[in-house]
Amino acid sequence: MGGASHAYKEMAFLKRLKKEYMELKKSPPPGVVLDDSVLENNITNWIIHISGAEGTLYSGEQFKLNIKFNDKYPFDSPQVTFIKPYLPVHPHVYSNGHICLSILDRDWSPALNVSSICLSILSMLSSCTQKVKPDDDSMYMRFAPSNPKKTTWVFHDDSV
Amino acid sequence: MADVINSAYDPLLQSYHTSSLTVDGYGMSNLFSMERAHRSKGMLLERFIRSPVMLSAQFKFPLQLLYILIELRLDINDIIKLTVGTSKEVRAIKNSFSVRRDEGDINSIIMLVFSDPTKLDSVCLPEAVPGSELCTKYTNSQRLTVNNVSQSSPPLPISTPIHVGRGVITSDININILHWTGHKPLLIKSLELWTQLPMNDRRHGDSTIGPCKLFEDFKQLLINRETAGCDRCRPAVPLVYNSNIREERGKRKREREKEEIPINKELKLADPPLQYMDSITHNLMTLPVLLPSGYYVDQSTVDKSIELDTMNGRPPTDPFTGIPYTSRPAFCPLLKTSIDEYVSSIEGQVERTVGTAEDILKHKQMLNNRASSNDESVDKPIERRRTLSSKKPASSERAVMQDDAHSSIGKVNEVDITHERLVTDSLDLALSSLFPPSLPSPPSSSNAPEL
Repeated sequence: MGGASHAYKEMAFLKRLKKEYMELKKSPPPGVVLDDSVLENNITNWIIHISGAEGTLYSGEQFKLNIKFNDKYPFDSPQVTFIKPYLPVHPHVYSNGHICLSILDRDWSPALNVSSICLSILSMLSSCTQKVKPDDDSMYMRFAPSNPKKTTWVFHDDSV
Repeated sequence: MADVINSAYDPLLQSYHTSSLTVDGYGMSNLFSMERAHRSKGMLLERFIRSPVMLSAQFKFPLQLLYILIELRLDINDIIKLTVGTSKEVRAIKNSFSVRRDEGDINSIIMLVFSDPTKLDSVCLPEAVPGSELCTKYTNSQRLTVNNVSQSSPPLPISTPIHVGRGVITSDININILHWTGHKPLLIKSLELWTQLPMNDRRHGDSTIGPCKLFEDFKQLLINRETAGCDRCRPAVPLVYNSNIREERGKRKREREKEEIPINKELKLADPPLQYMDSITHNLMTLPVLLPSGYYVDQSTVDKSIELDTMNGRPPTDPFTGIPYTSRPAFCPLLKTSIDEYVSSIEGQVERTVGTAEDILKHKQMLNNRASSNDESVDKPIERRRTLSSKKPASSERAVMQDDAHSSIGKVNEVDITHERLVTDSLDLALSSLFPPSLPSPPSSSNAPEL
């Protein structure tokens, strides 16, 4: 609606980000730690440490997530990838860190936030029964764009 | 620490003299007058006067001159050259210097700082200002206020001394203006001679007689005059310089700065009540609506969310539950009223960031109107909203359907909701195009806004 100015839009999306930042600092979900040393330079680029839940295949492992927001956030999903050496071997996580997760694409809702993304990823990891790479990993790596949001995802498997 | 006072006042002067003709009412006496009205006029030379112009003044007793401030009217790129000296050394004066004004300030403040007690012409050079000779300019913003004897009086302007040396003990002062450029006649806006009692007098002098008494009495006179605040006009010249007062002020300023936490200042500033915030964007709402999931969001958020749903090939859904809407999210007039009241009560402190560009424009316009007509407009909008809210509860008790809310506002104040109506109408359109017309939208289950 309306042709609101760019500055005004930008400010609105930063407010939401700041609120999320405060909440995540104050009460992070278990296993999720926000690395705010990076945030000082750029509030739209977050790095989050995730530790695999106890009693799952990934127990004791540490992963790093990179979340990039654009100024349409929360009406556009953020760009979420694992940072390369710290990525889990998982049927939905490609070798370049891209994650095949429907809420990051088609099923994104503005009501979702960083902590719900982290929780979804944690639950995705927890429900995994076999540590394997995605079937089409080598194929995807050949043509994958750098931005996972540009990939047309086919969400085939809801159980894992 | 002895008090330093501006001695450019009649009672402390034996005599003063100028070589040039001045405009009537703008004589040299203005510079030294006890009347602020006179002092604020300054000394204006006749148009035909050409350089050099000599000014001299004699104190009643020797004083330790620490620094001099001369405020001149200069236009951009005007240059003025002048020398300052005492009668004893008038031949040996080498401290002529020029000032060029190149900033957008009205005044030029020339400041001389004396450090060597024996020679007036060896003036302390401010090292921090490259290229400047004996002087520096101060813009108004750089001037500090010094005297806070009376809190109610307006702040007094003064330049900061770069270095207060031991000064020069003298009973007279000569200022020679050698040359100036510019078309306007020369105007000396003010002259300040900042002095203190010479060390000898301070140590051994009897404060009940002689120069000490005169000086102390005069200092007291200045302080009293300042505290009494008899003159309502702004003093043209600062009166008393007291280092203690200054330190005190510096301390207070530092404390103030400490209290302010620089980090997240912005966050602290804009902290409206949570119930007025959009649950999704966390901005202040303009047009609050209640989602079936029980969250309040702004209408613009719903619009954007529907846009996103359409893009992803979904029917319009509640962003929190993912359940498709069965009816329009209900507009909450009561919440809207209290948000508006809140906004008008903290006007100017919170920037409204949710809503349409039209809202912002309207809001800005309202602010402008309010600023331009001070008399009645301040409480009027609040009043109007009060009447609005007082009529609302009845409608909020029953399950408010969108149209009910609509019409009840319409009855109260047609003008006030024209915009809302426009927006909700556009939503009507959007939704009717999204929902098949054959499917009658059932009434929303429990949409009464809770407040």
